[in-house]
Amino acid sequence: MVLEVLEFGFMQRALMAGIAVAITSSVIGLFLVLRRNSLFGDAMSHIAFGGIAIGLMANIYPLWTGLGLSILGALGITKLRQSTKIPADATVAILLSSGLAIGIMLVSVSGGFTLDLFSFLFGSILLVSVNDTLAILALTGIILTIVILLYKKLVYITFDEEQAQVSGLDISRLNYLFVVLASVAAVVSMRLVGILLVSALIVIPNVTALLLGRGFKKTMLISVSVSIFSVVAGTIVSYAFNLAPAGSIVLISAATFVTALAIRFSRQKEKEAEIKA
Amino acid sequence: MKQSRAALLAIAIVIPLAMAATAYTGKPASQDNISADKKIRIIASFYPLYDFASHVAGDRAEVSSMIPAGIEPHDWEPTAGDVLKAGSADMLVINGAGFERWAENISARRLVVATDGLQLDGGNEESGHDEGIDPHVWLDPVLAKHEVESIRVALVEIDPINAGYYNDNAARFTAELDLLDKQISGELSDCQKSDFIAFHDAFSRFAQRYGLTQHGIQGISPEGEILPQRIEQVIGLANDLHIDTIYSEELVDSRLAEVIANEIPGGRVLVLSPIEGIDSEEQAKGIGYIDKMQQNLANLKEGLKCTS
Amino acid sequence: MHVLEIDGVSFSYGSTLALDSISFSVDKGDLLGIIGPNGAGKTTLFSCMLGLLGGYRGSIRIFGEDIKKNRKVFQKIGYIPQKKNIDRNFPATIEEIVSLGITSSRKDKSYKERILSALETVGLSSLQDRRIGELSGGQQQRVLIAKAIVNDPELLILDEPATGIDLETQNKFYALLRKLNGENKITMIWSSHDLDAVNKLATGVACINRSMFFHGQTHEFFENPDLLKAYSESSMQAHMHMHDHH
Repeated sequence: MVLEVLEFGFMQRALMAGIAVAITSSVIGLFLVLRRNSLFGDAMSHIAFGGIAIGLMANIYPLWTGLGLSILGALGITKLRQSTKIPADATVAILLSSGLAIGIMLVSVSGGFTLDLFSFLFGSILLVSVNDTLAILALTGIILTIVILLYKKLVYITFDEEQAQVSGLDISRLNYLFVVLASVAAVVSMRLVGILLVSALIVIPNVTALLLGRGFKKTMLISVSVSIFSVVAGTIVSYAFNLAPAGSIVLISAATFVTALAIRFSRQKEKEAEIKA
Repeated sequence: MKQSRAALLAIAIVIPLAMAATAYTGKPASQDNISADKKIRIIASFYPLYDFASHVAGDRAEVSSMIPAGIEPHDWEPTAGDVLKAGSADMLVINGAGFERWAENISARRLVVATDGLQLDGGNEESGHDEGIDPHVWLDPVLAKHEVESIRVALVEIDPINAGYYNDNAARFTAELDLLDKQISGELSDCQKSDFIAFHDAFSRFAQRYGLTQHGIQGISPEGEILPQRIEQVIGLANDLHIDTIYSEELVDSRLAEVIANEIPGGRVLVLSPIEGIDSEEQAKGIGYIDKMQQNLANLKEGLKCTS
Repeated sequence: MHVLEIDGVSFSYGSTLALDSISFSVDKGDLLGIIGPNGAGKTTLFSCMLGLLGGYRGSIRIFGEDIKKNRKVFQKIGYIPQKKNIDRNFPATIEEIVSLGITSSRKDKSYKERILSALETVGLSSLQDRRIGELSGGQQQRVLIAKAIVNDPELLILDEPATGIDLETQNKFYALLRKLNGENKITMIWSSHDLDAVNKLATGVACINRSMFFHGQTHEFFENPDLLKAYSESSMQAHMHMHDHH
């Protein structure tokens, strides 16, 4: 079955691009989830929608305006959070709805665009080209390198910004760098494999790993493994049963979450029994 | 025979509608006359009907398209403003055959269903569409003539003074359609292949008319998520039939067609437009239905390896 | 050279003066207890000292370096904040948290040893693989101390570190402070509400109430009934003031 899946170039690319997206989404996602910013991916997709509408309106290649507005939005979220103490989820909500509103407004003003906005914004894992695959592999490499280089600092600002700042870290620069990284990863990935997959892989494998993992590094490795497993298994299942691939992948990752939850409960019960005995 | 039935049906539809309009406005329909210098306002549901209506009505009417240029019409829904605008126009022209599912909720002064009177059988074996009817009637120039005729009949009805003008316009445009029909059958008469892979099942009536076989990547509607086995089937089909051209459309994401073309030897993507809408640039240049059909013909000749 | 020298520091939130020309200094081996009623500006003063608030007047020097000009001096200090609610699900182990305190990027052989010895000092070496979120509040504060001392700081700054921790754990905590100050010779600045503990541990006391109210030897403060009376009155006032507001 696995070999049969690999017979076609488009399935090979689906797996490769899927694994690359799985790695970046779950690595970036662990920091996002712990910073209570799980909806970051969705926010980026909505802001990118507005940005793409601007691009179509202004006759600029829409991916650049989409990416540009998303980065600005992400920096805006960070700035708001640092200077006003507005809760992160609220700032995300503000930018999410504003981005969507820009898109809707421009669509209504222009009376419609030639290209379906959504098809420009969202891809399918089955439809990535060779160049797309190379691009996402390169992006994954860049993001992983930066995260590895800054690993300890990122863990520190995620654990406690104030203590990180006292120890001499430039937290606002680190925060800005991180959100730019996260928004580029999110927007490029959703253009290639679709928003459903990206926003799910940012959250679900990480929540699963947090149930099981002991240690930041271990949790990250578990999350990446769950993520890659979901992509590979989901792609094979979607091929075998002719199901929508993104849906299959997300449901499999949700199933691993439920399994992890069950494991955690049974462990707790064991512990309680031990204590009683 | 067909045409007289169409006229009868058009009358059967127009009269109750006119009565409804009378009841609604409280004055007889005949008093709702069109004065000689006031332009008739026609709203067509989407692009080809807009083009047909513009040709028949000439400078006697202001024709606009309900679905804006560049929008894929399959899943389009009208806004409240669209509904009001349609209600205030003198005439609303729709395709019918289940293409405009939103139309039942719109009350128009005069509703012209351009396909009324056509004997529309399934026409499309693969389709999972409502009642199995392929609504892409306009892609067959011969059936398109019927749509032009429906519009002419309705225009003559509401503006009898200018009947001669409309009849002349319609006759001229119908002649162009006849010419197009001849051109297509002529140029497709000597081709190595008769199978083509279209993006969605829009071309079954066209294929039937010219003795071709259509294979759609997507079903009757160009939207919806693609499944892995479908891509594989299409690749297999292209390889079996030695097809090297995969057709895409101008209003959809071409990545699907490109992925398939990538998997077949010498594969490439060309556009085969279902003419469901054109972009604003084309509209500004005055590119019409017949131009789009000729572009389609040129691209089809490439894919079917035609010699003439 | 003083370890810490605060010279005429004032700070305002808008038009409200929170600190009014505070001056004092700390020398090597000192354990300065900073006391003062709620809202007296202790936290503001600490934020200024830690470089978290920049808009103050006056100067703050650590080992002779102005903290606004040379942020590297912060590598020589350790900071232990007030007890916070740490996310129960935060996945890092105690060992990983302590390692955050090491500023050198080199991972030499002694890296792990340093972490272990810091954990040993705070009495948590048996729990090194546990998640930080699973520990009790007192244990978490000890982890933060281990993180602060792992870098061999010459100055420890503790901002009400024992607030919100149960009494028994507090006593262990104070014993640890005494050990770090006595055996390890770490200079400390420590703010607290616990006058008894300050009396027992501190070598000097600074009592602030927006401006400097008293600064001197610990026994001078605690043996002076007028000062103690004034302190408890101002604390009461602050207390009642707070009640008025809530």
